Amino acid sequence: MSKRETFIVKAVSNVTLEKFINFAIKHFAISPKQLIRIKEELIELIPVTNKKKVILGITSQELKQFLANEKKLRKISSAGFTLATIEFTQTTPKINLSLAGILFLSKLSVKAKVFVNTFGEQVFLYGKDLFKKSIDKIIKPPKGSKLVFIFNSYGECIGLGKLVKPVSLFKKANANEIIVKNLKDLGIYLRQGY
Amino acid sequence: MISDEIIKKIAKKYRYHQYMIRRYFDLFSTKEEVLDFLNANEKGVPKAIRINTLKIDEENIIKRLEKRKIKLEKINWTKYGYYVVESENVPIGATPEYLLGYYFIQTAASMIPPEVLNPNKDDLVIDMCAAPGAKTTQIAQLMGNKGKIIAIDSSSERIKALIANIQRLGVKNVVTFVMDSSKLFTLNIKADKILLDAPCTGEGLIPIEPKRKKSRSIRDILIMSRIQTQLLESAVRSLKKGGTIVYSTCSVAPEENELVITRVMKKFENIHLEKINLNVGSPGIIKFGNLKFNTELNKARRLYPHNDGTIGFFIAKLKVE
Repeated sequence: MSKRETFIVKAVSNVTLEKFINFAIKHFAISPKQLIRIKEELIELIPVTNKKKVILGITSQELKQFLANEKKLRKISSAGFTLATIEFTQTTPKINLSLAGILFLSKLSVKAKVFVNTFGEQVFLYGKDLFKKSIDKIIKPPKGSKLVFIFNSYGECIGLGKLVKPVSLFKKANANEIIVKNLKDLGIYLRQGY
Repeated sequence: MISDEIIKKIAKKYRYHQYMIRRYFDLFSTKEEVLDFLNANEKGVPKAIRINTLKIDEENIIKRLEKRKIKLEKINWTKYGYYVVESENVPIGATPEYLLGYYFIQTAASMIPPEVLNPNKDDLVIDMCAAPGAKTTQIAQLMGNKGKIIAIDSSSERIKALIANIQRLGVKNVVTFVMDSSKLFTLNIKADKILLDAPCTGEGLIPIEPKRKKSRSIRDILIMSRIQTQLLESAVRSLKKGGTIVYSTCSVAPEENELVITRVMKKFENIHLEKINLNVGSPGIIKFGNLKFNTELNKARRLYPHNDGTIGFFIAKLKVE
């Protein structure tokens, strides 16, 4: 039986917030104001055994305040929901968005969106890549990024993908050509068996 | 007095241990009711979901699922519970709506404890045996994602499922913590409200887990009863004055329910039971075979498949003065 990591909880540091904001601007053109506005709800969880990793999460303000004052609850397993895991490597920090983080950011972004049809939704939730025939519409990501939120026909985000073909060539692509690589989708909840 | 021969015959017909059938004759007033109970266990209970209004409104999700040929029917004694009356084409646990966290698959009876606990946004709530999180996320929903909930489970493996459900349902007000809840009082944190949905032998789950008919002995019930007593004592010690504990199990065995509460009420004089206003179920019992329980236990509720169309369930609300 694997032992789950435990964490020390802290208010979000400026370093963590800055890295996350830069990531959100670079890939999704999200205004920093939108993230600074929720600073009061942001926390960071630091793994007891790995100080080079930080989990950025969102809690209710009441829970955040409680955890700040309550020293008896050391080594927790989670608090609120996770937005992203940030690994501070020697060069650039590596940011891995959680599913809840993907859904959260997708609501703040007006760029980097791929809308899929019902077939596309089904395929994507099975963990597969997206063919041209599954895609209804693409809104380009900011220059220099290939990450895109995947939306179903209800306009709900169902995961994150990476464009493998420039948007300018989308129209010319054939129906069975892969346009978006699946990076993470909500089907994980089922595949994990929870 | 029912004969050994009849007990043996019924146990063979319904494939139960004989000791269980004998106990059902102590639990129910007539042979007809015992048979009603056994027959209802054979039929199973309807699947149910709780709509997660933190993410979607009820009307919207009902329409969405209708398009998938999934028909819901309101469970009129719950706030957000619905029976799944039709789901021909799609498994209810594999729709995009499920993955989006719009609902939780949860037995109807298990939706009662969080509602009876009645948490509000200013409360500190502790859920002592929280994984996989049906009730924790329901408490969070009732609190509108505000306030704070400490969700504890003794298994670091099970807590993974709890965390996955917290993520899926978009819950913000829960901190999860691995510990043996019988030691909860050592943290010296005093809660306004505590939910103890205690680990149990699951005797009430027979309608959905028929294997339970043969998997547990009377010894298992007695061992579990001791564990449950320790947990409830720990809950009492971890509660603020004037606070509320909701104790529940999915067992119909009185040793796991009324006996546990009677023992703890004997030990702590400042506890009394509060009447549960619920238009489903029947009162808790005050006598079982040679066992006599605190007379306040008629304020608790018992649910049975033959009377209520649910799994077998017990729930009590305790106030600490």
